[in-house]
Amino acid sequence: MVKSEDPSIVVGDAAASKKAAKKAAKTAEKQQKKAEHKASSAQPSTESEPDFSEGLYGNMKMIQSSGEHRDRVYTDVENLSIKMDGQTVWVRARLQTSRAKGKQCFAVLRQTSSTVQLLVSVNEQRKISKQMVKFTGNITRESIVDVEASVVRTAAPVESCTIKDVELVAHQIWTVSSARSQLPLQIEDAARPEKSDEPEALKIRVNQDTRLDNRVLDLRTPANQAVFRIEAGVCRLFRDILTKKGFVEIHTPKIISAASEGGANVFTVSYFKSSAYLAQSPQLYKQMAIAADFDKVFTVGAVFRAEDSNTHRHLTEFVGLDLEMSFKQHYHEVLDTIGGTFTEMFRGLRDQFASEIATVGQQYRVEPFKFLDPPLKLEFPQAVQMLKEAGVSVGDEDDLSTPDEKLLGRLVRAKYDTDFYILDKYPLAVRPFYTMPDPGNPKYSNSYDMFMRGEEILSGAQRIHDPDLLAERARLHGVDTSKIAAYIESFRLGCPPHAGGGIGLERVVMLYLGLDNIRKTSMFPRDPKRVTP
Amino acid sequence: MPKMSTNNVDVIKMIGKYLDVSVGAVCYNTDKVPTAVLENKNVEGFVTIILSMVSKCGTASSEEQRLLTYQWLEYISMFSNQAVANSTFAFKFLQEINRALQSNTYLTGQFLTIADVALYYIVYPLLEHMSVAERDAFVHLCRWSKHIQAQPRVCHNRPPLPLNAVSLSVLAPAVH
Repeated sequence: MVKSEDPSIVVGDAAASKKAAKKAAKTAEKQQKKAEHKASSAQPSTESEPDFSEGLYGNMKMIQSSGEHRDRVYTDVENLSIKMDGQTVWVRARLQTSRAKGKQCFAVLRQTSSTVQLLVSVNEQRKISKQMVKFTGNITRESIVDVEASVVRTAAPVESCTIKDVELVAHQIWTVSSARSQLPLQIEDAARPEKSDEPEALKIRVNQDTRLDNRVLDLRTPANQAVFRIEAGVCRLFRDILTKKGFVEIHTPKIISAASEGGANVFTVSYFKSSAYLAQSPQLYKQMAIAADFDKVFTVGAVFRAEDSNTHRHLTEFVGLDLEMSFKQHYHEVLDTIGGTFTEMFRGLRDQFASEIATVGQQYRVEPFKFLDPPLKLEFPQAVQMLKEAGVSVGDEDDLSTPDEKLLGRLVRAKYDTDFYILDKYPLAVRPFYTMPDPGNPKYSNSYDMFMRGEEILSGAQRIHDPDLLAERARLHGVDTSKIAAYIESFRLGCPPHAGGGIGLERVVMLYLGLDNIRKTSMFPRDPKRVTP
Repeated sequence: MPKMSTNNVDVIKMIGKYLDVSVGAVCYNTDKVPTAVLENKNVEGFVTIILSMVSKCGTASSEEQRLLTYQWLEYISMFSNQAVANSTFAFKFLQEINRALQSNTYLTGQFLTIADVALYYIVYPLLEHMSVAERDAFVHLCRWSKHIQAQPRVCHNRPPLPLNAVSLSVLAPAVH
């Protein structure tokens, strides 16, 4: 099809504009001639053939809830099967692609992750005219269409669609909402597998920035649909498992008066005549809820970290799944609860989301996630020993660096065959001031980290519930006790021993699936360089 | 970057220790060619010195083995100095050797030759400072190094390289 282009009007000085005006006049004349020629040549064909599909296709009037067609029953594409052979159904889906050739038009309709083939072919009996076929071929990609069609068994399975054994043969086709003709990215390109075995396969891929700039289109790919359904599943499993264990869900404030974790990485907001901060973690409020007799709490909410980290695993805003629990005698009561929650979550994902995981696996390489029940628990000195044997030395009171953690993850995987493990008894020096020291060894603490595929997902500890010890530890860490006076005060009102931890939802999903970038698991990610969409 | 470079003269001295052959004063002559004094005769050239030291030990080897050993020693003498000086060149050098060792137990095939020992001495400083992640790119080279350094008399003045994580790239390959 020949596209007509607007002549570019040059904005410049008078002399230039005169030339441009002449040029514009010339192109306009040319276009007019072209249009006339087209009209004259087009007219005979449309005039000569009457359109007997009148009233069976076209652009639907904008649905303004006028009350029409409320009796129409729609079928989901994923439910189309051989069992419905011969039935007539209404389907609302997106037109993914269409290929018109003379008397036939093949189209692919897509509804979330399911695709089915649609056939519109000229047939006087069934009142499909040439104009209707042409109309279908001209519907822009990604438009939403309503189609009335018969479900027909295919002679050979349709390889390119998820519904392989049947296709739809159209009776009526209406556009509900048209997409513009030039899309910033093609869904097929965005959904193409990263690595293809076929040497002849197209190599067009869409890079991450383009995807994130046009997130609405990018999210329509089957893999992304599956990823975010898995993410919803993680959140739901977290809630259900903890609620069953007797936890209460709370919601903590995000606008706070003092930085909770440390002064450096906090966003400031203007708050009426002064300023406030966006919460880096719900830590303080979880503990206050424990002191307020809620015993076992969890919270799901936004966490804001103003770290200028442009890595594959950091976002400035993410969803935190945090929990805090009081215990009777030993913080391992909490540690085992958290570990058990994770194990149940992994099991739930494996059993309930198998098809979604497979869909993600069609585009990205997904290694099944291995875990043990009960989860593997190592102590920090053991980890240091394992690293030493592999040739990496870690100091007695040092934290593990990211490459050390990654190597340790591989060593654990090789030795114990698990992608998830808990590392207990970290050195006290590298933990926050509110971490309870180990009673047996002052260099260590009652704190733990949990890892998935060699990357840290949870950091937790037994918290100091004694106000005097807390004030002393704060002083030793150089934290200004006046700034956290309210926090310390809450422990003067009687508080049970408690421990807890927090995980990042996006990071858990990324590591469970084995994806390479956290932006793939955040619907509208925020990082130091991106605040939109 | 390697702190201790093993230039060709040092390699000759180390091989002398390995073979228990006295090497005399080894140094570079005016043409930058290593020269040694063996049995009161001046011998010039890295490969020549090493091969004459080996012949003094009297180990039997086939014609093919001798030729392959000679070729490998020539290769080593040509590229070793550049590899030590230039890290991108070192990377390519190690990649070539890694590829050669992919389906060979030793450089020349099935038997240990002096070329293996000489190359081990050259490669030692290059591997010494690599992290586990970097060594992942040279799986075969590491496997071979671990084997060579376990042979008797090879490690006489330097501790063997810690190469315990070689099997990790197979058991738990690094992702991303």
